[in-house]
Amino acid sequence: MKIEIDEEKCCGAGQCVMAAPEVFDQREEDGLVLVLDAAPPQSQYEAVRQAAKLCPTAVIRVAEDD
Amino acid sequence: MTDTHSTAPSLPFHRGDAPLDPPAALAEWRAEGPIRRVTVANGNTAWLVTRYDEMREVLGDPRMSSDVTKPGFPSPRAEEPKVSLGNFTQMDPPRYGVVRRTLTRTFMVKNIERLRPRMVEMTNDLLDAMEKMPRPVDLHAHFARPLPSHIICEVLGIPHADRALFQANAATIGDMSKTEGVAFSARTGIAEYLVQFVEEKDRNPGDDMLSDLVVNRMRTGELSKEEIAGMAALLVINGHESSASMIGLSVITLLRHPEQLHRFVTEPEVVPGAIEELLRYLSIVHVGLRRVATADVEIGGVTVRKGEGLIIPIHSANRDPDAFDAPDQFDITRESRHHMAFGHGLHQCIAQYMARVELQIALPALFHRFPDLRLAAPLEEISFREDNVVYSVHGLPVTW
Repeated sequence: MKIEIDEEKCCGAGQCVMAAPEVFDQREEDGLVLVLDAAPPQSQYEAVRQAAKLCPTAVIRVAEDD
Repeated sequence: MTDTHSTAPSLPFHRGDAPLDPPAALAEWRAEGPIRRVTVANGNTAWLVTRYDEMREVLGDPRMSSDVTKPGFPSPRAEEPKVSLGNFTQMDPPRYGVVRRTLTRTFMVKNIERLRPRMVEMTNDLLDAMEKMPRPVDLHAHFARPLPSHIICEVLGIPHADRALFQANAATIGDMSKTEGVAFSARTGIAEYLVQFVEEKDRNPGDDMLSDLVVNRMRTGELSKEEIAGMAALLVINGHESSASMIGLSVITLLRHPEQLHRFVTEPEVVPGAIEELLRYLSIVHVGLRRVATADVEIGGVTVRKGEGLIIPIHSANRDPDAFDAPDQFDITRESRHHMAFGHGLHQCIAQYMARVELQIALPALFHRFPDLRLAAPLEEISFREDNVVYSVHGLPVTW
């Protein structure tokens, strides 16, 4: 799994941090999305999918493994 | 759509004998189709979106505007809307993004987590005071309303001393039986009052939101003093009303489900999920989010024309059986995280994590302090506030 971010669209709602705190954080300076692990382990897949689904501005793109 | 004598029905607010459920017509309309015409307060028509999927689509669509001054915008009041400075809920990009991003740091998850111990203290202080009061106690007046008020004042860095002014004005602003002029005066009244604190932070900056805005945005020329006061007013108003309502209605809901309440009190790990379910089930913003189309847009098989208004009743989305199994059942163990209680799209509630943590602290603390907590009046005698943008109780007598 690979995570791509369209940071321009981020509105800092924090949904990704709530859904997958080991993969996403918010930048100290402005609260916008910070990807901690762009290629997360399998144990995080479900949480990352949830984060992508919950993101209010569709910032998170998840490329699944083939 | 400028016809002034529409025959379409209006969005219903009255709940009859089911005070915790959205008005019954919404479920009927949802079953009939994803979008339909309704009459809005000024007599014109707008589109009512009835289903979860289409509501998400509308709220996520950049062609939908939140600008209340655009012709066709479906205001909840009959009069021409007045725009108050700094009210970012009514802004569109690019200005909206600029203003919102001045606040995202304050409300980000880790900053709210840093505040958690203070939120616990403020909760306990109010419970200590309540414990000494003669019973029955009005839980709405002595716990549900003051707690969110204390918390948002602390975040902003303003004294609690004038919370009576905030509470009265916040309730007036949402009151749909009041005219736009009265609501506008209440809103600007708070903003004008807050200007003095913006000036004070300029002289003595501290570690709070207003100081952050003054130092990093006002001194750089990005935001004016009046805009900051207006933004702060909006946060004070929304910070008061919505969490206060959620606390009171959640108490009623949990008391009506004693087995689930028992799990809520004895199994801390179910609390976050239970709060999500309360947010879904109660969905207190019950006049619908409002947008106007800036282009022709296909929604649910119809073409919404440029300049036509849309109403997005999120409380109905959260009872859509295509999004939630058996949606009218309250079930703290269900997966409800995808609810739309905080909206969707770029305007989704900026303070949603703060609201969640408030509820995660306040509700268990209340039931731990008063294990025998119960309503001191039958549910039929509780007065529910139907004519406000935020659904709530007028008062909540409890005893223990």
